[in-house]
Amino acid sequence: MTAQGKSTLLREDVVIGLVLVGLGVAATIAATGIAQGPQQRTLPPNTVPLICTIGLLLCGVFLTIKGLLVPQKAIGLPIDSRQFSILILFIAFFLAFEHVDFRLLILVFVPACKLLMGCRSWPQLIITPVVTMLGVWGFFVQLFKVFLPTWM
Amino acid sequence: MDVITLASLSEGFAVLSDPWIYVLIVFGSLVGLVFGATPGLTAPAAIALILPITYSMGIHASLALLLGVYVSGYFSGSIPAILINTPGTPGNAATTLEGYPMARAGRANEALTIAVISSFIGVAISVLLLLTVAPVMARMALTFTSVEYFALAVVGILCVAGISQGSLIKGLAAAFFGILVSTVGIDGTSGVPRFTFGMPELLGGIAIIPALIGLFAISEMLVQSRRRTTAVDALPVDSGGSILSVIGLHVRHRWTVLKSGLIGTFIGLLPGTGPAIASWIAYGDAMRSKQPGEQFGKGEARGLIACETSNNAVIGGAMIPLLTLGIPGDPVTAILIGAMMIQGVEPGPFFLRDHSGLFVAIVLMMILANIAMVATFLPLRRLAAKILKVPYHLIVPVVVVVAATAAYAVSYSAFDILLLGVFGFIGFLMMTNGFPVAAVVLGIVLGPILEKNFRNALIANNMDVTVFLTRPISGLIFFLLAATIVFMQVRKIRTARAQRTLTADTAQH
Repeated sequence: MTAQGKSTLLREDVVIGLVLVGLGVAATIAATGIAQGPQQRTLPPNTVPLICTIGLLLCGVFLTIKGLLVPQKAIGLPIDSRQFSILILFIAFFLAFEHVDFRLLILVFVPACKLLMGCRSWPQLIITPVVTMLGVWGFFVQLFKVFLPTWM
Repeated sequence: MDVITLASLSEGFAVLSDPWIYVLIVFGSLVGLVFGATPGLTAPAAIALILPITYSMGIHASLALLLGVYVSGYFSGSIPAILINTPGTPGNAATTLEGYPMARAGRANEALTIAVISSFIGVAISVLLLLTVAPVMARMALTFTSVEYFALAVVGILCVAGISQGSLIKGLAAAFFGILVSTVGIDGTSGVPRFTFGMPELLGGIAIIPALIGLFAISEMLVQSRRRTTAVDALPVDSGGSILSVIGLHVRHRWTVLKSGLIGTFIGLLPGTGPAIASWIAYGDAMRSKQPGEQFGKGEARGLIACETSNNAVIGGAMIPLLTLGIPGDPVTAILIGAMMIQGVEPGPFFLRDHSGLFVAIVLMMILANIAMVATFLPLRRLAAKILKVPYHLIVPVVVVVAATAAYAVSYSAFDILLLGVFGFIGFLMMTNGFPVAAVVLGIVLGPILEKNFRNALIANNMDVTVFLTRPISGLIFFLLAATIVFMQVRKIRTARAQRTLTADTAQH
């Protein structure tokens, strides 16, 4: 493929359009696989899902065509390295939420996030997690009687 | 049908005898002020985060808290707009044009006072109209069939898709995605599971609260995590601009105030629109009636009055379709509909007939929330600049912790936390690529209404799809919708052409 052809394919709308087409095709296949249920005089259960998936597909096609016709900048990476590391931290936090004592989890997550975001102030790295943990405990557990995961 | 009776009035006023209501309204106002003023945090995010804790409250307490956040959150986006030239919400974008030049000229206090008083009057006008229009609309809504409800739901979703961001195609894709998400789970009519992929957690459908928190809060935190700290210096809040002089200014510009309030309420009434459109229209209208000596764009108080009055007047307007038709007008009312349903109250054509006391209570709580907004902001306005200096490395982890805790509190399910993360990431990808997240939210909330009425309408009319165009009201709704979309697209093409010509001319010279 020529360099120009490659840059055309990397245009923002082309890439987003193709992603939508892919999503639309996959969802349409999934929607056609929905069982029909008992025969009755009503719409099949996959009617509205199919309208949406075909709509997504068509939006993807329009966006791709628009991207191919109108010159525009190439798509950039949606996430930089710092955001990626923070995203990984978020995922770890969400996965651990039910399994780890919420107090310990907050005391680990908050300073880790602050460090990744560039905070180097030791008082802040100590005070913020403690205040956040006490705030969550006071507001959710004590005031609103929410049962959060604890080890003791 | 007498909608508001003496009994409903006394029932509404009785709600105010509970001191807890006042505490919650003031607390909600403070939360709304902080969330609206902090760039990156919004009123919908605040309401989505708070919603889970309202489960255990009664309907009155829950609405007191949420309305407090709603009213203050829409106003406080003007604080960063005035002090750092960055609107806290899209609805305050027009505010920057006059508010920031005023602040730069050393009139920040006057600009902030004008903003809060204008917002107060905007809400007051819209609440008065809510009181008068809602009963009439509710009576009319009783004659609506599934055909009309389907048409209104489509309008709600498409308006958000078309208006909230530049690209109509991206808006439509977001709306389709939202409706698709709402179809996950067991189909209520046939009992057939849809898109559950063998996961029992999905049989009941996608839990709406974690999805909303993910879309509004987690996605925004991922976007903000790119920043190290606050990048801007807020202008200082001076001591000028007394409250009395600002009230005098509003009296002098009473026609602008009234007109902007009416514009805001009318725009709010249309499903899918919102404060951004209202404030631009009101600002444009104020500019058209420019008086000699007025300098728009250089700190003209009348311009600021126009956009702030209409911006907050949207609140009462958006409550009208919510309470009378069950159709949310904007993302916040989409969350409010969920809050009411959680408490066993279904907004819609029967709401005013069956819950007229609650309707009166809502109106009274909106008035109190409006007073609380002014009462909490005015003494604290000199601290406003401090909120803008809160570093992102403090906001992001705290909001994520609160978001996860709030999502978990709904049903103590680890799966909800995963949903929160998934929708947060989807929202992040959408925001960074120019897709309107609000359209997904309206799709998720209005999807079941849309599908139910689509089905009912077709069954009742022998599967004849032309019924949506042949019934007069729905036909008119669809005609107006199509005309609006065509008008918007033509205007967009013309603007693009004019810009190209201008660029070519500039290059030639």
